[in-house]
Amino acid sequence: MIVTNRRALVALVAALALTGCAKPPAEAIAAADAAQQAAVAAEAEQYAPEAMNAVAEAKAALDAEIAAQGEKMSLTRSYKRAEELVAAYKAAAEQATTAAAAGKEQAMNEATALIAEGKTALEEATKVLAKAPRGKGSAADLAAMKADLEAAGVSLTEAEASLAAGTFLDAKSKATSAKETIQRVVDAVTQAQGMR
Amino acid sequence: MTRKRHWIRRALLGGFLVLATLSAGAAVLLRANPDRRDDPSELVEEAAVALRAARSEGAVARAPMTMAQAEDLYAHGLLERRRQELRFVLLRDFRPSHAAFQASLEKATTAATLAQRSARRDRTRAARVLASADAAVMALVGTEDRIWMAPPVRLRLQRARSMLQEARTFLDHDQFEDAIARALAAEAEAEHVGTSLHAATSRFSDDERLRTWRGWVAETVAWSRTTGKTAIVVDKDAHLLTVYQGGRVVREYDAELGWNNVGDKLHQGDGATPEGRYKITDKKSRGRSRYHKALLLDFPNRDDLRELEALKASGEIPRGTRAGSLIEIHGEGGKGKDWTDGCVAITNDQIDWIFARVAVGTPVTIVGSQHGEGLFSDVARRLAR
Repeated sequence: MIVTNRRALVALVAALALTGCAKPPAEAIAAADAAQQAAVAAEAEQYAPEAMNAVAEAKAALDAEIAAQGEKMSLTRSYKRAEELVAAYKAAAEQATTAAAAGKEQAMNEATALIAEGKTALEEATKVLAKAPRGKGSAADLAAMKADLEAAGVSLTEAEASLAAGTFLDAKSKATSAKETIQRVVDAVTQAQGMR
Repeated sequence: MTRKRHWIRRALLGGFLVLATLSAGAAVLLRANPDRRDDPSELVEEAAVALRAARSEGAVARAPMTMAQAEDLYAHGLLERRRQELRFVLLRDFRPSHAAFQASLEKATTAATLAQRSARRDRTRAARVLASADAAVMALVGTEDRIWMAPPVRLRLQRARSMLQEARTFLDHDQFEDAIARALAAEAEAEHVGTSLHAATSRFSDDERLRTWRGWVAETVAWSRTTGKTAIVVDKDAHLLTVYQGGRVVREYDAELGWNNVGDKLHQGDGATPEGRYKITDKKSRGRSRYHKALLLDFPNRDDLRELEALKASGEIPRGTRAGSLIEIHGEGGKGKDWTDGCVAITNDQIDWIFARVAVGTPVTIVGSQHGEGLFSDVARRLAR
């Protein structure tokens, strides 16, 4: 009878010792925080705001769980749920990074395409201008149109700089305005050709 | 045996009484506060939705304090809810977490409203700056097709237009600071262009110059009146060629000028139509002129050469610069723009009419403006305002 009681006591102490050692999953939390920082660095707040909402909510749930367990007696704490929540937090952060990269790539592709279109249009307009009717009365017009194309060229160069700097909206707006200028020149040359 | 049975009976009865007491206590607890056990899961979702909406309205940047309070209350609600979940079921009380989520929801809604107001204010401010820039740029747009601008000035005008377009794009994407910066840059470029344009056109509304030009015209008309002969006056500002006979106006024609229409001719190749008192030195009939018929003027006259020498002496133009020549009134006009290299162009019918009524020696007075009314003086006045 005494032996049985002693065994039960040892088992109880061992169980309490095991549960008493429960600690927050610090490494996993650090990894999830790093993933969240990576999402911020990937400009997820700008390019994937919905995904960043999910990250904020997952982090809040985790913080609440860690704090609630921290308030309990050390021998009764359990971080199993916290481990699940930290995994969800990390997954949300990684998803935000992926979504940001996709959003950024889309914006970059759009800006790149606009700049490429602008460059092609500039080349074509330069050719059109070279073939424009010449003679007395047209030299000044041609010089003016050349100045307009130069302005468009400056805008395209600036658009490329903005693209390289990652400011895609700026790149798009500059490329768009350059295209409009080029189109105006082409229209003017076409009109002049029609009048001849 | 009997005693043992009796003891068991008493123990069962005791246990039953304890359970009955606990159940009655729990019933009393639940009846006293029926909502204490309501899990606030719906309210959690409502608060989360409100926070998401506030973030998407830019409340983190636009209403940071209120937004931080909303976030803190939400976090507090989650903690309080979890605390209760970890308690014995009969002892749970979710009311504090309800209150926290409700407060978070209200704060998030307020933060969103504040952010919307702030965005509206910024949008209004950006729109106002853009409207000002738009007015400055659009006042000049189109001018470049009517008044000659040096290529660097024209380039600046194009840049102003582009920047204005870019500002509009930023405004459309709610990037107000970028929109304002771009609009201000556009306005600054427009101001540069306006200054250049004003410098070029202001002489057409300058009182002293106008007096001089009117004096030239008056002398020419007086000569026509005295001699009864034909005289020609060209008003560059009004783009008008007037034929006088015996001091009376007999014809008025639209005149087209050199492509550098706003300038006074200084030297060869500058594309400007000269201003001064000239005479016809040759009548070129069909076959002798590329432009139907032409009346050659005595440009450069002594005044022109004196002016050229003064410019050379001051270093404003190189020593070897020549005055140019072959300034004519000729046909092939009617193009609706200033296109010659410095001549005055009218239609073939008009030159035919004049050709028959003038002779070598007929005076041709070309002035910047007579009345300060015309394309250039209008622009000068508009820019001065």
